Amino acid sequence: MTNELVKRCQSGDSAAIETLVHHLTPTIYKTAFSILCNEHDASDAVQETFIKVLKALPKFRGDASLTTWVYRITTNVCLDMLRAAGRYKTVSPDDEEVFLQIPDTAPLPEEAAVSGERKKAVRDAINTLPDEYKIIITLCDLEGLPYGEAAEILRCPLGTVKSRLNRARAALLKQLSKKRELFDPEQRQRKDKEA
Amino acid sequence: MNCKEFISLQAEYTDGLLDSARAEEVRAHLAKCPACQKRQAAMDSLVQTLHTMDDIPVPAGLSEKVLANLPLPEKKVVRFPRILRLWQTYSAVAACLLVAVTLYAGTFEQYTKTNNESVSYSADTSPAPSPVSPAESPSAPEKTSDEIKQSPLTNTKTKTIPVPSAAVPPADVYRNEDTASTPQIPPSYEGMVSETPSTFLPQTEAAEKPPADNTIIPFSAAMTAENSALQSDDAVPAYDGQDNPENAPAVARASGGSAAFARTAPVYVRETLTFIVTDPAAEAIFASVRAEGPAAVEAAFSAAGIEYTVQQDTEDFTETYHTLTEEATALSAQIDAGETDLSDRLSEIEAARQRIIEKCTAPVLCLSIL
Repeated sequence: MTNELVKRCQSGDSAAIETLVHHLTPTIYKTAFSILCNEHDASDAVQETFIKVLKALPKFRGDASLTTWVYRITTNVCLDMLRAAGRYKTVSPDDEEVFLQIPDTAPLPEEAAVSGERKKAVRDAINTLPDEYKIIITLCDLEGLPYGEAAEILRCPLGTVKSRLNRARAALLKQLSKKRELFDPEQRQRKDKEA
Repeated sequence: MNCKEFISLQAEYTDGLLDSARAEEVRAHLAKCPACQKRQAAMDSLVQTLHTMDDIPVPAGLSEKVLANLPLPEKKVVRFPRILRLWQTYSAVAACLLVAVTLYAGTFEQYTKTNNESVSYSADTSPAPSPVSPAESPSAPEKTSDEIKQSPLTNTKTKTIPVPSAAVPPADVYRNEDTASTPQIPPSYEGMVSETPSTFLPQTEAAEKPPADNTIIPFSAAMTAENSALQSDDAVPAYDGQDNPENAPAVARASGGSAAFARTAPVYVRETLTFIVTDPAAEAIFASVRAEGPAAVEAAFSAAGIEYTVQQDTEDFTETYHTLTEEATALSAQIDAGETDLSDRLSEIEAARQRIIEKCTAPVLCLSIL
């Protein structure tokens, strides 16, 4: 995303805005889908995000990268939608406890070739997480952003990102432990035999 | 390192972001703690899984759907490059000068905001006439003289230069476009300085033979009109040189003539000589100059036997502009940091900055007739 394109967008160049929309739509949609877990809501979030982006673009100074800025708007739009729908889920003290309760039966690393079934299980598990865990996993693990950029997007200290990501992953492992057979080859073989 | 410390570093360790010393401590703990080994194996597997989660298909046509519902600008606003806007103004001023010099004899007034020496007139060595107020001028309407008295600019130091009547022959002579009778620009004439603006008119010709067709509005009145417009809520848009009456300077609209055109000096110009002429001939000259470009301006001046230089002066705005820019940048950073309640203030600053840009890129000219 070049500064030139941003400048053209800021000057109201329709062609540049179309390019921007085509370029950013997949990123925004995937982020929104990971947070909202719903195709229809994610599409609405994309629309709302671009409306906000275009409205605020003239004031965008490039202090942060455009992508970081758009991620920030996207996460805020998603959180607003969750709050409006009464679906916003905060971290409870019980969730904090999960931090120290990482299941000791681990899926094996070599089993990480992820099948569609396991992907769905992970998606479902992410969906059960508190929203701030969902967002940090979306940004750091699904979108692969550096901690520093996640901190910039979430406007929080780097240390907060690290600790929150730790807790979010632990919570996710806790959820996935309920479907251990999807990850544990021994359990899967046992289940196959029973079947 | 104990298990709790290990867990607190697990994300960074898993992502390979720990420094080598800290990573070595973690590895030492893992070597002797089977529980944490399992935890780490689980975490590695999870993260690897998450990194391959590319299973979200983007709905087909989503971008197009988004674009269809976006409030895109219907048409890109195309502004003339600064240089084009300038030469259009040059042509306007040139046409005004030509009309003023070759068509009549009338009123002109030099307005000076500061005691800058960028303008000087040429005149012959005959004695200067006495100042005549705009109200006494047959070509100046009553309303104009009132406006002059109310002008907010009358406190500024004004340099007025008397022009001998011999230098401004009767209008009908020049209306014939007789080159032989074109006024010769005499040697340099050093003007007098007064603390209040005055209008100097030819003593006899203007009084006895007011130009019926060529109405010349004293510049002070024009300035008053433009200043009023600038100070009102509806800011006068920068004149873009197009023929749209809405784009015409406020003074041109105020002059009431359909064929009128004028370029008033913005208040920030240090010194400006402006002739405001309403004459159909001016339109023709203007159109011709505009069609042919900047070269035609020079040609027009050469044809009139006038040596000239054109200079811009926007330095008075530089400091203000930079101050506003710095403030806008600081506020923008705060807004990016989440302080959205500053948006209104930023908008005000941006608007002020934009106004300065508009005025600085609008024609800003000082004509020096040598």
